[in-house]
Amino acid sequence: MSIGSLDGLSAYARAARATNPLADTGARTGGLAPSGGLASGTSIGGGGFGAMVENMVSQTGDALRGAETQSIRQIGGKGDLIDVVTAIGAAETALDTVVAVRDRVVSAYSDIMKMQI
Amino acid sequence: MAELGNSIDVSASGLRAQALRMRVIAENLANSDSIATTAEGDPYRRRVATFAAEVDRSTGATQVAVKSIEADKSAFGRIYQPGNPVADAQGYVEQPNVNPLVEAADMKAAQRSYEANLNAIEAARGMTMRTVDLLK
Repeated sequence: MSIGSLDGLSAYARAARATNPLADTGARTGGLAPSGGLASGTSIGGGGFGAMVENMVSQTGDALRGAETQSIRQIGGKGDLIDVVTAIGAAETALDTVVAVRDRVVSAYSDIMKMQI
Repeated sequence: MAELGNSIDVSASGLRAQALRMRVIAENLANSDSIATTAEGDPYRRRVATFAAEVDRSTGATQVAVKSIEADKSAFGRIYQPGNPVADAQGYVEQPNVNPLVEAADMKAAQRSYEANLNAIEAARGMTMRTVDLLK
């Protein structure tokens, strides 16, 4: 049984590629992206885990804004109820996904902090 | 997740198409007694919505859209009403070619199709949520 930290990193890299398939390595260096150490040597795409979270949060923000726009149009009597329902559904799904990922990250972080040194 | 999102969009296009079909049925029912305003004019002519498959180029999913709203070419009915100001020389008034029974059947079909699309949306959303629940 050799489940090392590199396995964890490559799992995060897969998640990062799944949420941000267009970004190539090194194109996004801002935000929380790790700029050295283990991450630069491994196959983390799209600027690493920080960029992945950033990307997911911005996508969720877009979905929520879309839902809000549709709701306001509906209140004004100009919108379509079907558009409101689908936009709110998409926003809800995106928010649920981000919250679930955040919970996972926070629990992983606290697991590491509780580790005996 | 993208495919489940696309399937929700496809079902939403079905909802929109059936809603428009429902509007046409409502127009037919509401105008089932609308006769011509002049002696030469025609009474209300029944209309039907026709659907067509439509590929959404951004996702490749095949959605449905109302292609056109066509006039029903069947003959008008005639009733004898000599006192009516729009009656012809023989005293007949043309009536719209709307059959309330046909409209009722069409309305049920639109209702069932709308419900089927709603159920598809519900199922797709349930599948998405169950997948997200794996993370929790």
